[in-house]
Amino acid sequence: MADEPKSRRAVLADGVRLLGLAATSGVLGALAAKSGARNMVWQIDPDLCTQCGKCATSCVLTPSAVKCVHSYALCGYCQLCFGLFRDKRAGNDLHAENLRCPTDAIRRRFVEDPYYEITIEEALCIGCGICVKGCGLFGNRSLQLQIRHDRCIGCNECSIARDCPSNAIRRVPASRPYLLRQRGGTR
Amino acid sequence: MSAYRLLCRFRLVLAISSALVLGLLAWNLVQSRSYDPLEATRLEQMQLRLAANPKDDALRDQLRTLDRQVRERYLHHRRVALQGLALLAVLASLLALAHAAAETLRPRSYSAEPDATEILAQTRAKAAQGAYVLATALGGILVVLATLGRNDPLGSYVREGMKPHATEAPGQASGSAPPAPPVGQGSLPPADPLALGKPPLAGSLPATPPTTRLEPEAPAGAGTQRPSSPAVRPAPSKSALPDLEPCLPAGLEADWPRFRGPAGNGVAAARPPLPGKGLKVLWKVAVPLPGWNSPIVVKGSVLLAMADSTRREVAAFDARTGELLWRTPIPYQGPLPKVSQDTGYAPSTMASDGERAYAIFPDGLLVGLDLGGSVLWTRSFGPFENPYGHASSLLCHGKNVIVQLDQGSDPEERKSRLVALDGATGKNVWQVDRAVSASWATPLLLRAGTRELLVAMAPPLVCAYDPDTGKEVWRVEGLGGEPAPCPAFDEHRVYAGNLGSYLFAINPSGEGDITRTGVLWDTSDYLPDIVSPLAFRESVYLLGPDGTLACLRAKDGSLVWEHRIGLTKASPTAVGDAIWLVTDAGRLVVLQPGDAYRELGAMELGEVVRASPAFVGDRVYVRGQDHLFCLGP
Repeated sequence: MADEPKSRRAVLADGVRLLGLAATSGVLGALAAKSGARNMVWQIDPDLCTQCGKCATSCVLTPSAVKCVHSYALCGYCQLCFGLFRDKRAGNDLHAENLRCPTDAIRRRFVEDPYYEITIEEALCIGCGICVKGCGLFGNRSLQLQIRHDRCIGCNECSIARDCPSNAIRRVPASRPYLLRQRGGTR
Repeated sequence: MSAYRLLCRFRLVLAISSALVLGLLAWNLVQSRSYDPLEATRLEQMQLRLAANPKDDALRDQLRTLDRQVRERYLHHRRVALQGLALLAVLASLLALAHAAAETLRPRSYSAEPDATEILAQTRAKAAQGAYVLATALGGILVVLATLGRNDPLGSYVREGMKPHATEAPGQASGSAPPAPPVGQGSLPPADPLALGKPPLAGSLPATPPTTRLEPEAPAGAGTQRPSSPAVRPAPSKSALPDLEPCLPAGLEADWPRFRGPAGNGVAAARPPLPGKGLKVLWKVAVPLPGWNSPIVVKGSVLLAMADSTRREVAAFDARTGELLWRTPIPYQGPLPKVSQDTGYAPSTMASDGERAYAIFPDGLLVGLDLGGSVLWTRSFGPFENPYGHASSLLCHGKNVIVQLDQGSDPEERKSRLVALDGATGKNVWQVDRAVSASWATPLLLRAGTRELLVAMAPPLVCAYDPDTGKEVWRVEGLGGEPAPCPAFDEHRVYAGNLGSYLFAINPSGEGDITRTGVLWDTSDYLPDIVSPLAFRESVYLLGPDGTLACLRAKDGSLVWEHRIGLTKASPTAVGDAIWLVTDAGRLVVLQPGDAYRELGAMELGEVVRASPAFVGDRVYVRGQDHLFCLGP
């Protein structure tokens, strides 16, 4: 029995089994590697970001995984919010000609005279950073661009990072996945 | 028709459909680039032209129309792309399955005896086909699942994206969309793991330490219809509530020796005539220096503190004639305190025990004077760590002066104190350190049954002390914001609260921490920022920062009525059967307490008023921005 040669079909079946085992191992290994890689995630450093607009166009996702995020601890609750309003505008009401956001993703709510709360409709935000630039020009820089990790698919090489002219995107620990500037300009 | 042919035709239909969808997706992609909001240069040019020429109505209309078109088309293309991808995934999966089934059912012509090579080739072909079908089906399922499971629901994107701004202040037009609903009816901001804090509603500046945004939202301040939803706790029966009485200073019951009257409760024993029914200006004299503190009236003299950045004084006027009796300079001895414009350099109301008068200033200098204007002693408690400047007013208990010195932003730093001083010497009688942050409120003195209570409020506590020893009697935790309104009381309850926090109705009969047992109800609606509440005839009157006066039922905090009377800093006073108010614009309004807002009379003083009036006998003393008024018959 021991010396009986294997049939061609048996050899083929063994080969297929071996391939299956190798494929399974490969998949498991890839998953493990990906799991390890998820310990670090991509994020935008607001102190380096220049709001060039590439976040809206370079991401592999459409719309981009980059969104405007509001740091309430920094916000001045300005009545004349320059994240919301254009600096050159016809008036101070919420009509299209006065607003900065191209997708109408910024909402404001009256708090008390003269303070307003700003919120971002993330479903509408395309990560263009126009509001962020406006807030930084005239306000407290409480609006900041961040990669939202409920959307980011964690590319091995972030396509926005590759295009970012100021190298503002870097890997950060997944346990602290956001780099929001807070009160006093520090994180 | 055989099943095989049927499957073949089905496969063909699926293939054509998939190709069509693919083509439509490509066309959609090309089209969507024409409506990229980031590439809407024409819109940008129109905006610039309109900014240069804001009165061009035609251009404005064009711009709004174009803006709406661009955004609608952009959203439409995004929706089509996502739905098309999902449809393509489904079609591809079905195509793979149909192909596999058709190949299985394909009629075959067998040769008599296939050799081993042919069998092997057929086996390989079947294995490859099975793997292909399996991979395609799995891929399709994964694409569908991933599409449906994305946290970017395009449906809501389209539905929500075209809505007008959901929450906006009254009077603000809303985008290029229909008018916004009133404040308070908009949805709360979405829970956001990135949110660093909720908007500070406290005080007049947003410096409140943030808490989680997942907590209930504090009310918006506009005077529109808002739900009145006080949280009512299981309360003891009325008979179980203690009887509360004011601690009136001996011999000064008919005077006005401190902020909000002899009881500090905004209830006056005076009976002046109503506006329009005999009330007129008896005299009006210029006040030499500014100050937002309220006048006190003691033994025929109206006393005021006043200061600017160069000098400060205490002055006395004859209550009968308005004649300036004396002015005592209180020189600055150190660097000027940092104060806001609303606080000024003399925000704290003086107090008197009938023999002496006391004044405190934002740099922490406390002065004891006799009623002739001579300085008896001074104590310096400053400088204070206070963002707007120290503003708590003084009160007297017997011959002691009580000073609330709350400061700092972190209660655990224990920088705050409550001090009782001997009025004759200025030396400490007792002092308690308080684990609270800065407060601008004035303490309240009352008698609950057999014991006297000194109630002081500062985040995070409403705390009652024994006014003789300073020993803490009870505390309620949970106060937030930046308290400037004073506590108040009626026959059975103590009320304490401020904007950015809650208003607590407290049963003051307990001891220790009575947060869970002593709070009868609380509400976050209609909270005052500056103005102290008035508890009068089973109602609590709250005047919010937007000028809305709300009347709540004292038993449960439910709303009786609200009325916008205009911006007001002076606290209301119950005088006889009426409630007297003075708005910032100098309009003296007298209201009838009851189930509806009803004015009994009004009078224009013609000057900005922020100080609370004093009521003595048949006269009313009002401090305006520049003058002291005496109103009477």
